[in-house]
Amino acid sequence: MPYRNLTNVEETILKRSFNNWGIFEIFGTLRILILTPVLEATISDKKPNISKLDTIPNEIRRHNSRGSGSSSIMAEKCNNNDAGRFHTLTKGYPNTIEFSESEKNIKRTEVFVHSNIKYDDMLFKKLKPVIIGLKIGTIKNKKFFPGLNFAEFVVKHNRNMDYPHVIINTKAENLIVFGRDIMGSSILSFFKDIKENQQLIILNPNKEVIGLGKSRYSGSLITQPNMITIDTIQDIGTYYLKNENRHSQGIDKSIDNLL
Amino acid sequence: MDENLGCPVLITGNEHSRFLSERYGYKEWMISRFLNFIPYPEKMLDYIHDSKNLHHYIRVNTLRTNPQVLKRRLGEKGYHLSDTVLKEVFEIKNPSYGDIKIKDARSTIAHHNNNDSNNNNNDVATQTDCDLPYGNDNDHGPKQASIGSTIEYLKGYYYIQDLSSCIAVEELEIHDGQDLVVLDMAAAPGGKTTHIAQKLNNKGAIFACESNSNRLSSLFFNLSRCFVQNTIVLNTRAEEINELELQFDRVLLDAPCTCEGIIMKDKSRKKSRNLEDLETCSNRQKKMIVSGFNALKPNGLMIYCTCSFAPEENEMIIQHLLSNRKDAKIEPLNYGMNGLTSFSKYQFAEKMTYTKRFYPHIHATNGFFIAKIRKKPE
Repeated sequence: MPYRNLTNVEETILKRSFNNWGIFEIFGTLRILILTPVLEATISDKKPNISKLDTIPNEIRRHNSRGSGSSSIMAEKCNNNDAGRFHTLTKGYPNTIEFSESEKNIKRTEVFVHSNIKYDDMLFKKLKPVIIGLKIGTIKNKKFFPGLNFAEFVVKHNRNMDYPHVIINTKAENLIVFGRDIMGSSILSFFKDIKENQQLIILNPNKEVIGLGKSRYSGSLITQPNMITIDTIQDIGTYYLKNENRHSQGIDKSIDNLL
Repeated sequence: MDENLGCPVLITGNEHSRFLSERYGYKEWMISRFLNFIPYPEKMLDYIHDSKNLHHYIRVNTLRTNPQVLKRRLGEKGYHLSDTVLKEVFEIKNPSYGDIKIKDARSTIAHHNNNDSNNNNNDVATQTDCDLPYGNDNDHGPKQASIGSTIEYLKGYYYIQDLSSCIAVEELEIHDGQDLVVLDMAAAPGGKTTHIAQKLNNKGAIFACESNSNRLSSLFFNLSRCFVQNTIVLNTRAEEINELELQFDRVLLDAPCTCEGIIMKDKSRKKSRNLEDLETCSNRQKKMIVSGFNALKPNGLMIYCTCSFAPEENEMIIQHLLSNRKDAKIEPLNYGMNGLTSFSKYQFAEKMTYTKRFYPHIHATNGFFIAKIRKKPE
């Protein structure tokens, strides 16, 4: 999984997001890197047109996941240049390969920041790191989807709090960190310009990030009592719980203990 | 130097070792060895046997919060925190009512306090990188979250980590915000890596190696939770680090080991290891320490540590390095008991006393070993 620098399009997307969240000034201070894995999802509602750019055939994907052997033959066919394995595969997509309509591969890029800017791409290519720095979100369909770590940057650097957010009470906090949505009566205060279906940062009374949500209503309607007014998209509890569960499921204890 | 240095030493048992092994449920070969190099071995076995003696520590993540602020916040939630020799590490007297029944809680805490007062001379307390168990729903104690499930924990304000592990990182001599390049040779689950990151204040760079891909997710999780931005994680065997042609200011080798020192937290280890495991570990540790030392810059510093009592995984590994690298120099450490200068037929360098050992019954920590090695300037 190679890391690479931003393309011009990605840089524009990110700058716009940093600006929208009120932290444009820190963009230049961060070393931002892109990782492009491919996720596979089964289509439940089959769409008639599957974009070529969104789809990589299973065969190639399997070769890529192995990263050796006969994959190089296929990769050679598909590669136009050496910048980013999955990108080049999609760019150089050969006409002879058929699509599988039962499955869709979703291409998305993961965005990481690293605090040390002195390491260059050559080193990363040589080392083949599995992770560099801190993941702050994903880019999908030319949109940036912030993660919890991005929210931390926003809260830290946008002191005026002029970004979409709600502050909830302690009782709700304890429920939300394990996945519950937000009732209107739990909201202590909110950003005045919240729009319907807008992504926002969920803060606790100490103004600490505990999640990301999406508003069901605009403005003061989000405080309507006895109904869910904000859907929780990510929260610090399930976010970490998921990782811990994955960890505990993935580990063969005997191997783990056995060095 | 003896080429067989590090081969497991089998010490003949006797009636006493058989009695102790039956009483405490260990393999006899372990007990007969313990009787030869552990101070007050019977006391240690007795101490380990009683789970009430287990101590819990948290390390405050100074990348996210201030130790005194966190102490106050957790105090408001009912946790009893006491200071340790490190300012960012606290001992938690009541980590979870999940494993302390309410009717026993007061007596248990009192017991801990008594232990503390009896061990005033102890410089250290113990723990490993293992997270504590989550609270048990069947408990009848007050409604208090386990220390591993508080908002503060989820926010990455602290890491549940043994004091002895924290001391290993403390001894790396990283001053706040230094622009150093550090190698962590066996990084998962990330306890020491995140500690190094906070020492560096997210400056410099940490190259974190982890060969077991199953353990990477726990490393990612902890790096993200603790808001660490200066790591480069490599899924590679630490022995092969020299192939990357990188040089480091600091190297931390928390070597994979037989984990005799954490039997108190994992009782299965009383029986789950054999002499072949010890030999396997010892051989790998020798390769790792040489690789790590080769990757050091001149005048660079290396910390070697294990959570094992076995001299084959500790002093013998250091002796192996000293015998093979004349530019390796042991430096003194601030905490713990002196390392062994001999074991069975083996004699070690005089300065092996600079290495330090930690014992549960003496230091209120897990069993641990730390050595500090400097690469002499060219």
